[in-house]
Amino acid sequence: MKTLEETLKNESHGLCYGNRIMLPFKAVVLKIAVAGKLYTEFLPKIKNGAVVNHKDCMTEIYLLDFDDLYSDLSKYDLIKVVLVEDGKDVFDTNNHKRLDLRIGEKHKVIIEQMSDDVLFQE
Amino acid sequence: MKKLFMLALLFFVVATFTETKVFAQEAGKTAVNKQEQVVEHKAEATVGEESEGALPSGYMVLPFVILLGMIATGPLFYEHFWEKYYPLIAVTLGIIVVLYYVIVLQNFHSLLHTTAEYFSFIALLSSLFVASGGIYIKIDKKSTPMLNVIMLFIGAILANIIGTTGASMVLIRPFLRVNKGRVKPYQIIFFIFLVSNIGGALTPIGDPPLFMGFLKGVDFFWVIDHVWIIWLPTVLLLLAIFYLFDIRNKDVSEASQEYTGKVEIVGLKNLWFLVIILISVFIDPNVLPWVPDLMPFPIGIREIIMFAVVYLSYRYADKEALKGNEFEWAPILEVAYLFIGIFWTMVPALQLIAHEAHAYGSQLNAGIFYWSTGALSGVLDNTPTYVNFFSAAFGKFGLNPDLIKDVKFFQENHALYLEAISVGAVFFGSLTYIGNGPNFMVKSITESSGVKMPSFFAYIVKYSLIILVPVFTLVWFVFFYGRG
Repeated sequence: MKTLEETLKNESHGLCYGNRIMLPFKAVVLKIAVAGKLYTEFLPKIKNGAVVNHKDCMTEIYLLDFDDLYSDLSKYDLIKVVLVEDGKDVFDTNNHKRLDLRIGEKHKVIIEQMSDDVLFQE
Repeated sequence: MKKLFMLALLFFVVATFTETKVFAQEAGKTAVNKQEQVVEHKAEATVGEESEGALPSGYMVLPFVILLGMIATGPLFYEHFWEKYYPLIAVTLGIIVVLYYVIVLQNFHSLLHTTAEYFSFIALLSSLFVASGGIYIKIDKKSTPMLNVIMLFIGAILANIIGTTGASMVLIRPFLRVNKGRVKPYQIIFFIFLVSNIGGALTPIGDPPLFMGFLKGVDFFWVIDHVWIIWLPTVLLLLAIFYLFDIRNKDVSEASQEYTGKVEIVGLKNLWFLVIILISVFIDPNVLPWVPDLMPFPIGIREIIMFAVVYLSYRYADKEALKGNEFEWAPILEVAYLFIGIFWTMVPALQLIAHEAHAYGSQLNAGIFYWSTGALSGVLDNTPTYVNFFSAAFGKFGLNPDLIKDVKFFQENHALYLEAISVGAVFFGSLTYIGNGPNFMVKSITESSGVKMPSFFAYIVKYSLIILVPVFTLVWFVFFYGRG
C-alpha cells in the first residue's frame, strides 16, 4: 500500500470503472465536489450520493449519481476531494489534504494536490 | 438521443419547406422591398392560420403543461430519472404538438415561425455561453462589502451586454474567489438576484424573454428607454440590502494573507467574439432591410454567424481559461433540448391565450400582467411565460403579435403593458432556482467549489419571500398600481 505522500511524489494514478474510483492509499474522505454536486455524507447502502469503502490497500469511492464518470464529466471537470490519510488525526485541520482527481484515458485517475488556482472552499 | 433530436428537426424542416416554398414565392412577387416582404410574409401567414380553422383543441396545451411541470419538479423530486430522460421527454412532447399541427390542423406556418424563433434563441444563448466561457477573470483583492457591491453592480450592467448567462458564467468564479474565507449562501443568492436575473432587464440580449420580444419586433432600445427607471432603483435597493447583510460577515481566512490587488483576464480574444455576437444581433431583415431573408429555412444570416462563433470561440479559446472555468457543454445542451420542447409545445397555448385575452381583455390591467407574468416566471421558465403574456396583452387589444406593424403600434401605444410583462418576466425569474437558466448554473458552480447552497424551498422561504417579494411589491406600487 502507498501513502498519500508517495502517491503524489511518484505521480501514481488511481483507477476508474464506471462510477467507481479507486485510490491507491487509505484515507478518510471528508468532502467531495463534482459537476455541481457536493457530498459530505458517505453512508453505506444508499441509492444516490456517494459511498466510500476501505480495502486493505486502497480507498474506493462510488459516485452513484453518475453512470460512467469518464463519459459523464467533461475534460475540464475536476473531482475535488478533501481527505485525511489513514492513521492521521482527522480533527487536526493541518492533516486535511485537498486533491484534484481527473478521469483520464484507459481508466486512469490522475491524482494531484489542488493548486491555489482551483476554486474550492473546504 | 442526438439522432432523435436531429430526426425531429429534419422532419420538421422538410414538412415546412414543401408548404412554405410556394407561399414564399407568391409573397416575393407582390412585395416592393424586403421590409415589406417580411411584413407581408407574416401577414399572409396569419391569414393562412385563420383560414385553416386556426384554434387548436384545449387538450393540446397538456404537453406544454406537462413539460413545464416536469422541468419544475424533475430536478427536485426525481433527479435521476429526469437527468437521464429529459431530452427524450422534451423532444417527444414537442413532436406530439408538431404532428397535431401538421396532420390535424395542417398549419405549417405557426411551426415554421416558432422553429425560426427557437434557432434565433439558441444561437444567441449558445454563442454567449461559449464565448464567455473562454474568458477567465482572476481578481486578487481582499473581500470587502463595498467591493462585493461594486462587483454585483458591474455584473448587473454586464448582464445587459453579454446576457445574464454570460455575465453569471464570467463573474461567479471571481466573485467566489474574492470572497474566499467569507463565502456565505446569501452572497451567492444576491448574485443570482442581481447578475443572473434583474440586472439583465435593460436590453434584449440581457435576458432570453426580452430577446423573444425583440425577435417579435420590439425595438432593441425600447427596453432600456422604458425600463431603466424601474431597473435602477430596484438594483440600488437590493445592493443596499446586500450591503447591510455583508457588513456583518467577518473574514475567517488567514489574516496574514497578502493581496496584490491585481485583476487578470485570461482569454481576452474571446471579447472579440462577444463583439461579433452583439453586432450580429442586428443582422436581421426586420432591422436592416438589405439583409437577405433565408426563408423558408428556419435560420438566417444572424444565426449562421452566431453558430460559427460557437465553433470558433471554443476552437480558439484559451485552454487555461476553459480549464479555469471548468468549461462543460452540459448546461447549454440542456437548454437546447428543453427549449425545442418548450417552443413547440407552447404553440397551442399561445394561440389559445391570445384568443381568451381578447375575449376577457377589459378585465386585465397592467398590474395583473405584472403579477401574473412575474408569479409564473418564478415557478416556470420566464421565456415561455413572457411570450404567453406578450400574446395575451396583444389579444386584449385585438392585435396580432406576429405582425411587425402591430408590435410597433403596441410598444408605442400600450407601453405600460409591455413594461409590466418585461419587468415581471425578468425580475421574478430570480424568485426560485428554476425561474431562469443561469440560477441553477450558479448554484452548481458554487456547490462544485465546496459551498453548500440552500435547498429549493429554503431559497424561497429564507430569501425570496423575505427580500424579493417586498421589493417587487414596492415596484408594483410605484410603477403599476392604479395605472392601465
